[in-house]
This record gives sequence, C-alpha cells and structure tokens, in this order.
Amino acid sequence: MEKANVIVKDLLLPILKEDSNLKEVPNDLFWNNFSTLFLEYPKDSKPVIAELYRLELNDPEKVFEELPQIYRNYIGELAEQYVLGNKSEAAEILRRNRDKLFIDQVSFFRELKNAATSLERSRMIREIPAAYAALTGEIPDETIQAAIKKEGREDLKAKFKALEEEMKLDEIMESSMNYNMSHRFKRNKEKAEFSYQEESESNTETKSIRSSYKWLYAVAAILLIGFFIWQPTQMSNDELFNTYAGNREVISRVNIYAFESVDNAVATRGGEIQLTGLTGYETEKAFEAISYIRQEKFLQAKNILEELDLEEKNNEMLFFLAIAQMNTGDFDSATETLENLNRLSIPALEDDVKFHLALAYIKQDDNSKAKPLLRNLEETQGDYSREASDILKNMKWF
Amino acid sequence: MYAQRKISPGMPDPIYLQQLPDRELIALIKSDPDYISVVYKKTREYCLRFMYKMNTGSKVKEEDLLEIYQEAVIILYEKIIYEDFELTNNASIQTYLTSVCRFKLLDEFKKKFPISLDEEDGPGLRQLETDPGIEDELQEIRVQNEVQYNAIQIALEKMRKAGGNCYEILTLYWYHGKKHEEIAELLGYTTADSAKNQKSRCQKKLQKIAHEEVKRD
Repeated sequence: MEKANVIVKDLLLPILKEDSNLKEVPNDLFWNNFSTLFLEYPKDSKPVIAELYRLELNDPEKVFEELPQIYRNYIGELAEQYVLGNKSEAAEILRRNRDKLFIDQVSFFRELKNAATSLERSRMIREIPAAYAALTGEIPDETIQAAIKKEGREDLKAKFKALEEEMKLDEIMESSMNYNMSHRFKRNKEKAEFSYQEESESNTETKSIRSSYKWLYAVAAILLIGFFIWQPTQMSNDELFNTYAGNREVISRVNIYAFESVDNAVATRGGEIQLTGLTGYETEKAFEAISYIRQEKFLQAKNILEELDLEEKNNEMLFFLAIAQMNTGDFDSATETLENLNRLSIPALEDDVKFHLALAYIKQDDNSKAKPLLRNLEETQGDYSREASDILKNMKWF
Repeated sequence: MYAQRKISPGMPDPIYLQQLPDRELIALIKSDPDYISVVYKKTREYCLRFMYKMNTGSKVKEEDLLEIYQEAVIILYEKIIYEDFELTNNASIQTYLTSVCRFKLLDEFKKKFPISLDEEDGPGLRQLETDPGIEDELQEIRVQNEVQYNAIQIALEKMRKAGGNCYEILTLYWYHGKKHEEIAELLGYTTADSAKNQKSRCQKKLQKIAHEEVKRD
C-alpha cells in the first residue's frame, strides 16, 4: 500500500497539521492502516474515525468534515495512477470490489488520456514549424508564403471589387440612358422632323458624355465604398484593446483601498492587513499579484491568483484575476468572471468591471455588447467616462 | 508550443540547434516538447527525398509521403518520452526516421501491390542508410467509451480555444508524460503543488464541460 500511503498522507497531513494538539507527524504504521481502512470509508466510516481519535486531536470534528472530499480525491488519484500504468494494491482492491467511483474515474481518465493523445498528435504535426520559430525567433517559411499569398489575394480582391463596381455602374447608366432616350424619342415623335443624321450625332455626343461621367461615378463610388470598408479614421478592435487593456495608467486607477474586503480586513496581531475570505499568507500573495499586474507582469499575477482559488472567497480579488486572464489571452475565463462581477454590482468596482468587460467584448469582436456598457460609463461621468467616449468615437461603425 | 515564449535575444541560435548532437537533442526533447521541431527541421528534406526515390511510379500520392514522415516524427517523439529512447552506437535520428518512413511506405505499398521487398527498395536505395530491423508504429488509441471520449475531445478543444493554461496542463500531464514539477517549471507555477492543484481544477472543469456535452447529445 506504499503508493496509497503517500497519496493519503499528502491529502490528510496538511489538515491534521492545522490542529494545535498534533504533536508529531503520525508514523508509517498509522498511514498504512489509515489508507487501507479509508478504502471502505463510504460503507463504514467508524474504523476511520476511530483511527483519527487515536491521534487525540483538539478539534477532530473539523477533520471529519473534510473526509468526504479527501476520500473523493484519494480515489481520484488512485484512478489517475492506475490509468498511467502505476498499478497499486489499493487500486486492485477497488477494481476487485467494483467500486463505482473508482471505475467511473478510471473510465474518465482513460478517455482523457486517449483524447489528449489524439488531439496532441494532430496539433503537434500542425504546429511543429511554428514551434521551431518560437524556439529560435525565426519566421517560419509557411508564414512568409501565407503572407505573400494573402497580400496577393487582397490585391486581386481589390481589383475584382473595383471591376465589379464599374460593371454595376455601367449597367445603371445604360438603363438610365435608355430610359431617357425612349422618353425623348416619345416626346419628339410627334414632331417627326429630326433626321437620321441628327439622331446619330446626338448619340455619339451622349456616348462620350456618358463615358466620362461613368468613370467619375465609378471612382467616386469605389472611394466611398472603400472609405466605408476601410474606415481609416476608426481603430480596429485589436488596436482599441491593445491601447486600453493592461494599460498601466488605467489599471492604477483601480483603488483597492475602496474595496469592502480591505475595509473589513481583519487586522492581524502584527498589524498587517488580512483580506476577508483569505488567510494572511493568501492576502500577501494577492497583494503580490496586484503588484505584478501594476508592473504589467500578467502571467506571474495570473498564476498566483489562480493558485489562490478565489471563487467564493473574495470577489474583489477575482477582478484582478480577470485582468490577468484578459492580458494573457484567456478571454473566455476573463469574460465569464467579469460578467459575474457585473451582475453582482460590487460598489467599489462597478465602473472598473464595466470598462474591462467592454474591453473583453471588443477583443472578441462583440461590439454590440461593449457599446451599452461604454455608453453607460460615458453617461455616469465616472472614472472611465473619457476613455469610454474615446473608444465609442474610435470604434468601427460596423 | 508550450512555454509562453517571446522572441528574445536569449533564444537558441538556429545554427547551434541544427548542429546539436542527437543525444543532446533527445535530452532537450525530454524536457521540452518544442525541441521536436528541431528534428523536423533537420530531417524532413532527407526523409521526403528518400521516399520520393522509393516511390517510383507514384504508387503512393505525394501528399501522403509528408503524412508518413510526420507520423514517423510522432513515433520518435513518443519513443523518447515513453520508452526512454536511446540511439545505438552508429545510429542517428535521421537513420531512425528514414527507417520508420521506409517501413511505413513499404506497408503502404503492400496494401496496394503484393510485391517483393528487393524490388521495392530498388538498387539506388540500397546504399542509403536505413535499419530494416526498425518496424515501429504509432501506438493505437484504444477507446472504450466512445461517447465519453468524444465529449472529452470537444471539451479539451473548447479549453484550448478559450486560452488559459488548462489545455496545456492537461495535455502536458496526460500526453507528454510530464510530472507536476516539470509542468510548474514549463508554465511558471511557483511549486509542483500549485501545478497539481491547478491540474485538479482543470480536470474538474473538463469533466463538467464534457458532462454537458454528453447531456446535449
């Protein structure tokens, strides 16, 4: 049961250590007994509880509360090791007993391994040239070729477009000229005095006028269409996002000392701040992450904040996680977090959340969701009204 | 592909990478999957030329030759990470890959035409370096629960598209055989425990998405 002992020890010992009465780390015999008894925990919890009572803990109930979760993690880890080919006596017992949780977990991990293998094989083949470029900083040949192709294609597209517009205009002019001609002919029919020569001269003259107008109209139309498509005075969504997201000046505006969790922070004996929902150590890490964000070191910040598992602990710190996620390309998670925070309307963060949520929508080309948030910020004349109105002014029209 | 690299002056010089001895390159691949791309860059042309020569009369389509080569690279990669692949005295990565390509191509020929090995190798190819004893193939993926497998694939794809670290953590662990300490080092977590906790959260998230996928079907 050596493997099982290690797993149980890793899961249970940190909780036991929180008890002030635990004098020393239990010996190998304890872990050996415990890991075997624990396999039967859902069917019979008494031997497990008796084993824990032997440790004479100050607050054993606290440990008992954690046991169901520890059990699930224990079985999960045994299943994980089983799928990876690291067989153990404990896994063998569970398999023989047809333990449902174990069998379900093995099935999930086995198919996860299969799915990961299949996806990764394809992805590696697809991305190997790019991986070489990432290693060395070289631009892959395929990218250069694609860029050349793309430029060529864009050029051709533009030419086709101009030609099409010209043809369309030609048709419009032709039909309008025919219309005018037939009317003029009708009006003149009664007089019936013009000669074939006159008609012919008049046609030649119209044709040359029509031809010069046609080109003028064509150029004007192409310029107009081009202007609307290109929108040279407007910024692309990527440009807008890059200008404002992660911008040090914008981030420094978030006033953490206005946060409720800072107001309600428990003052520790050393006089240091401890945020609600977080331990002293976690508070320290949260502030470290905020400092990273302010230095635009988003990856470090994200790793720290993700490790803190902030959900249900501290909503205000979740905002910083969303900023870190947004600036490391994890837009889905950032949007989900910000949408939840927006629904909660946290007073100290209301505008900050709206502004950053709008940026997340812009990055995902969802301007229709971003606009109402920006308009609201513009109207309320708060901290972000200037930026909101700048973005609305510079955003593409469609 | 994995480490969130940015172009910087500290990057390995392409010439240095191309000249790395095979044994050192294998050690690098063990620590970082991205180094397999150096193998690709070094061996692709030779393997493809070898197969073109072998493929007289275009028995196999040209685009399939590239696929055979790419599969050979994955076979090598999986040998390195799962089986502690080592080169024998005079062998090189190039010889190994050419031999795998040869074996795979012969297999393709056999599927199409039942002809003898001598005729297939041809006189021009006999002097080229290959090891006819190498008959390595990709390990088959044995799916036991098709519905769950498909749902997990979709869920993993969703995670990959969403960005973040979950796809990377899960594939580094479940495919690339990385331990928590190595994942922490590759992805910038402070400790192996942090990487382990994050992996556990990602697995729960994946299970939830996959479960929703199964329900939708």
